[in-house]
Amino acid sequence: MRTPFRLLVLAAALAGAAPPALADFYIVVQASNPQPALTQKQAVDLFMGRTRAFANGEFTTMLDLPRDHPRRADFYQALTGMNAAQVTSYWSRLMFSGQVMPPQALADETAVIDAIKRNPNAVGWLSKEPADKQLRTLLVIKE
Amino acid sequence: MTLPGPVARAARWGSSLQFRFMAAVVVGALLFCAFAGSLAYRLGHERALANSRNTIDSLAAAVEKTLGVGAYAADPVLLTEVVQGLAQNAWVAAAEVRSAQGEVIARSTAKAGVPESSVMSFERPLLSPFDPSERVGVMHIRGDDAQIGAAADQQALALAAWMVALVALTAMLLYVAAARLVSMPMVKLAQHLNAITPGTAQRLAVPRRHRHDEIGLLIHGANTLLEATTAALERERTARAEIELTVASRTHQLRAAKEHAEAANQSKSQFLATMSHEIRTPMNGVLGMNELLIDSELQPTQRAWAEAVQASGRHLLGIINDILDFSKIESGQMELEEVSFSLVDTVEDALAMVAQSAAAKGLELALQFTPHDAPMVLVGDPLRLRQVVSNLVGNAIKFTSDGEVVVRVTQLRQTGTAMDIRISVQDTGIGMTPQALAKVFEHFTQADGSTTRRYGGTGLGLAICRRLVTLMGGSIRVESEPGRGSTFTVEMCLPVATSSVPAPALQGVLPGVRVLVVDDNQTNRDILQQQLQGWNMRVRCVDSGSQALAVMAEASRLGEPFELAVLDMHMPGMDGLELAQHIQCQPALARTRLMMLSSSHAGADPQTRARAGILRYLNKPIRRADLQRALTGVLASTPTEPAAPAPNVTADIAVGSLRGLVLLVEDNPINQGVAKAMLAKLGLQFQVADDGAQAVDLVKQADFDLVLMDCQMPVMDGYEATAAIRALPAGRGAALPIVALTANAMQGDEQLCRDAGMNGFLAKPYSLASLQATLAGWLQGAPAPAPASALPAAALSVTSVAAGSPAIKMATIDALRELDEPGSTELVTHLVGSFLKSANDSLARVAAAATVGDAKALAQGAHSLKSSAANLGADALAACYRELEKLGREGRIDEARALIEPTRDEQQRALRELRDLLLEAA
Repeated sequence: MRTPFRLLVLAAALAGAAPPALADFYIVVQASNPQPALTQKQAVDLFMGRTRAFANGEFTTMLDLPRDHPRRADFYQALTGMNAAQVTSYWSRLMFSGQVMPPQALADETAVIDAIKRNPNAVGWLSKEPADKQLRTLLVIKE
Repeated sequence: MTLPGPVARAARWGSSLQFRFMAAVVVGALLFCAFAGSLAYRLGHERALANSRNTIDSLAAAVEKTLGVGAYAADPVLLTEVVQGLAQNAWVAAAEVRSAQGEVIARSTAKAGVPESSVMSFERPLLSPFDPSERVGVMHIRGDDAQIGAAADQQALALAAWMVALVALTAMLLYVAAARLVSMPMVKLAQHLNAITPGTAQRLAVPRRHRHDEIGLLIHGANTLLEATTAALERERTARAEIELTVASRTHQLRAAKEHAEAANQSKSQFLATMSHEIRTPMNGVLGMNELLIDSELQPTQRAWAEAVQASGRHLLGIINDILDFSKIESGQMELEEVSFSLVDTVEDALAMVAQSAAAKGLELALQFTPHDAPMVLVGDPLRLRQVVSNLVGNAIKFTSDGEVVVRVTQLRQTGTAMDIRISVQDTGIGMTPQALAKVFEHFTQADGSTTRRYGGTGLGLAICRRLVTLMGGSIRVESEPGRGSTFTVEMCLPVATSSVPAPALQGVLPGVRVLVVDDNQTNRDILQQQLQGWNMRVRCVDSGSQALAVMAEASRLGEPFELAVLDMHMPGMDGLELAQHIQCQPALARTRLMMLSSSHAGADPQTRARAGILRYLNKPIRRADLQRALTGVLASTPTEPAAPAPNVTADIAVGSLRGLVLLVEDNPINQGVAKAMLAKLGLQFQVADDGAQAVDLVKQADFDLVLMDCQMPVMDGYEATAAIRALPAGRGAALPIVALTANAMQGDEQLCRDAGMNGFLAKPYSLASLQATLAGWLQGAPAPAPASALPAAALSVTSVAAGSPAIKMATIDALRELDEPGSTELVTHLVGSFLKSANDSLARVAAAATVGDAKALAQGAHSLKSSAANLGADALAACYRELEKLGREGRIDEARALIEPTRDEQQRALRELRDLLLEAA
């Protein structure tokens, strides 16, 4: 089901007006974080609330961008294959019980970068490769 | 086309077509209901189960995604919330979610009373929302079997019920439709068919609805059949009418033919009767004259010829009698009497008639009664029965050259009013072949043609016997073997006489007496033994003289000598007389009293017997009563007394033995001659009248002692003459004895004579002896000479009769004396004495009965007086009483009253004579 849908989306993107240029998304942590890298699955598990700690046992602090961020839908699309509504629906199911909370949404990518700099256990995503040396990219997700 | 009974008309409900059809429908519907119901139930059940499965399935599908998310995010709260929600469903017993590793993450709270396992369980893998290839857990739902089952049952039952109702309704509709279409028309048709009378013009109507179907066809067929039946019945009716016409005409012809034949037969019988009468009249002349001739002085050759004539004449007479009897039976004119008689006397009489011929041939003639002392007083025709018995015994004697003839009279059974008797006559004669047996009772047949030549006879005897026995309601049969003898058996059932003659009770001295029977004949020994034992005597039997002597000697030695020995005269070796002489010679045995039996009249002369010490001599066949009296007499005598010679029972014809004036009324000159000669020979005076009118005149003029009256005469016949004489004004006519002479041996003649007022009856041709015997009843005996063989006592009695009044027949008194022991008059004295004492009282009772009109008492009293009087020879008195008895029985009281006075006169006369008799004897 998903593949045809994706193809549809692709076709729409190809045919659509002003299609945004394809860009990568970067999942980043403090450079000091001992986590060497992440697989896409690990990244999904972290962002979708399944995993709440690193391999070394440190609890993660997951960061997100606001819902109206132009790249957020694309990011989740690229990461989980779900569109924004689906992601919202997913979280609304889990939030019902209050046991699992979605990542904390910050104002913008800068705020995310700042937060990571402050918190060695914070994980966030960016739509541009960070230039800051204090940040390290664990995974690059191709759009 | 007749219908069987009402059962078929109203068909029973149980077997009616309608019922069977309905039953078939009901049964079929029930079966189909059961089938459809069970099918519906099963289908409903399955569908209900599938429904619930689907429901649970869709429930599972509905929560699958949420649970997948919960399991992915490992959110137990969410999962628990969802599974609790699942478990809310009625059909879900429990739900739980396990992780991919199998740990239970969430579980619904358990419901009460729900089993752990279930057939209705569902397991679904929970997939990661982001990676369909990854299983993040398993959802497990357990159905509630009980709930699901109950729901399914309910649903299935409802379905089945609907189905059954549907089927039942359908069946009912089908039945109603079928009934309307087929069954009802059938029933109606059947009813209509039953209501129709075949042979009438009734037809069945075809209902419009069924005009073109099978019912219509059926009705049409029935109508065709009805028409055919009507036609057939019509034809039959016509045919029957024709047959009836034919039958009527045939019947008419047959009746005419039958009447013709009957008339012919009647005239044949009439002819025979007339011929018989016509033949008898000259026969009377032939035989009577011939008898006189024999009694006259003749040369031996002449006498032999005359006797041959006599024998042939008697034979011819016998044949004529047979033919007459036979023709009477054939023409249905034979009527039987219904009177009381003693069977014992009758059979003994019959044997006495033929005893002479048995003795002449040297045959033993034995008679046995079983039980030996039964009175056997019956109602019937003794004359005809005697004829049958004497015929059978006569035949037996005729066809037996040596050996014995045994007559057995057996009382088979006695009910209150009737007795079954059997009379059998067994001989040791030539016997018969089976072929002959088959024809023996047919007329004019004998064993074979040569038999007739050898033995003579008409061949009518047995045919007459059989017809007589049949008339008496009995049967006769014969068993025989050639060379071994024959047995004729007569069986019949006769009414028992109400007033039975009392058996003589004279056996006082008999019981306990030791008696020896010596006889070479086994049958005779058996009969004697039975008879004597019946009187409680102690009997010993031996079969020869030598054995008798041995046995007597032995008994004497043991101190138990025989008191009496009964000897047979004729025995091989030592005969009875010799034996008696031997016994007399031995002092030890001489006290035994001796009696002799013989079948021959020429046994030994009285003097020889007396010398041999034989006290009493009896001729066989021995009458039961005679034997008893003889035994009593012998035992009462003193054995040491010299025995007086016993009298010969058969008296010779006593020439000139009667006295009196007789009027002979006879038209036929030859018969007049015969009668005149005979009367003269008997010592009687007579006058002759040629017809009845003359006779009446003569009676008016002279004082006759007796009238011999021919019945058929010109001018005035015997009956009229008798009536006229009886009607004479002077008393003489009423008491005058009148004896009928008639050649009319037809049935009822004797009765006719008696009804006409005659006292006696003599059938022509009559012999001198029978004439004497008949007249002796009314006429006095001559004073001398006495019969040569008579006892002194008997001679005394003859002289003692008072002259001029023959009230007592001396022959009877003599016969009574005969029964007394020699030299004694005890029995006679006793009997006469008791009669003298009681007679007048008894007559007074009879007279009283007549006065008050008690017919029954009159008849009874007269009956017993009749017997007493007859026993003492008061025959005229007995006749008076007989008449009284008859009048009493017939209820003719007035006539009886008129007869009382003459009876009293006659009785006084008889009593006077009896008294004189007693005085003389004393």
